[in-house]
Amino acid sequence: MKASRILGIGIMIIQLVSVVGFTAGFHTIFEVYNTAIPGGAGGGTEIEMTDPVVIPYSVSPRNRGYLAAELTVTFSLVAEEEVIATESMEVTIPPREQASIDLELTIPLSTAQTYLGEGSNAEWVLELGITTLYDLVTFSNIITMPGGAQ
Amino acid sequence: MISSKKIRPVFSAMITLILFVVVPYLLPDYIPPHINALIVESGIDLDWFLNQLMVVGAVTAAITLVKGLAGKTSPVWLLASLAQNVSSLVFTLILLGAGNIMSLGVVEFTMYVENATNYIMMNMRVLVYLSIEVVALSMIRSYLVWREARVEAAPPGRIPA
Repeated sequence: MKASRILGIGIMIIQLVSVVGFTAGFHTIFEVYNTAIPGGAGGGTEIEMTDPVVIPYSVSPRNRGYLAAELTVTFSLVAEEEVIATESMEVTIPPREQASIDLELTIPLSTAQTYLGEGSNAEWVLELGITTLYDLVTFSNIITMPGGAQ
Repeated sequence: MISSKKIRPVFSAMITLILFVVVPYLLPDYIPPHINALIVESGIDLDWFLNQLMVVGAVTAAITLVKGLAGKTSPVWLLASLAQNVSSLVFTLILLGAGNIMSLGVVEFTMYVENATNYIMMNMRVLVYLSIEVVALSMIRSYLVWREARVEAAPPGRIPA
């Protein structure tokens, strides 16, 4: 067999593996991301003014893809570039499985009244990081929403 | 009568032209308005992105034609083949960078939906590295094909220069 033909077959195999990996990676990221976004985080949740104020964030991301995915979720309350409260969790979701993420921001009542009251410039920041294909493909999404009462 | 050896490269160039020039040219008319609004919000310059694809597509079609019409033993065939590999890499870089060739497979954009700011980043750099590897191997293969064709075309007992 000619050297060019052997090389041609090798190139075809690399291209095939790339396309399969790319498609499987995208599919995994899409599936995990779709289930990691809650109906309403922070701003959309009814907050009870107890002392301390506890703000929950729970999602159950499901990986319907064919590759394992590592999901990092960070939920924070930020005001004037200062982090008032933050909580983070990292889970590895094997293919065809579901994980549970439960985060709670605990803020003293006085701080909550300052930053979650009307006219406050505080913001909810939700960071989602998904890596798959043996950490070779990365997806990151940062959602920032107003934190004060509107 | 035109020989099939000349029809084939013209046909290949036409297909390349349709896929990479005509389709991107017509694409904006077929994008639904809500998807178009999302693209505008994300800050991706669709016109610039498609223009780049069309330019590379037109260049690739021209190279395909030249390569097809040149004999496999000709240096023009080798140069066209190498240029075709480079243009395919440029095409991949444009595609993976959503129009920003210098981003090397890292796509970033920000969308504003109601009160929320949505920043999205996708890192596909590994695919850029794989593409570079494939193009490098393809260039070596082009040289081997050209060299083998010259050896086959040389009279018995003669080693081509």
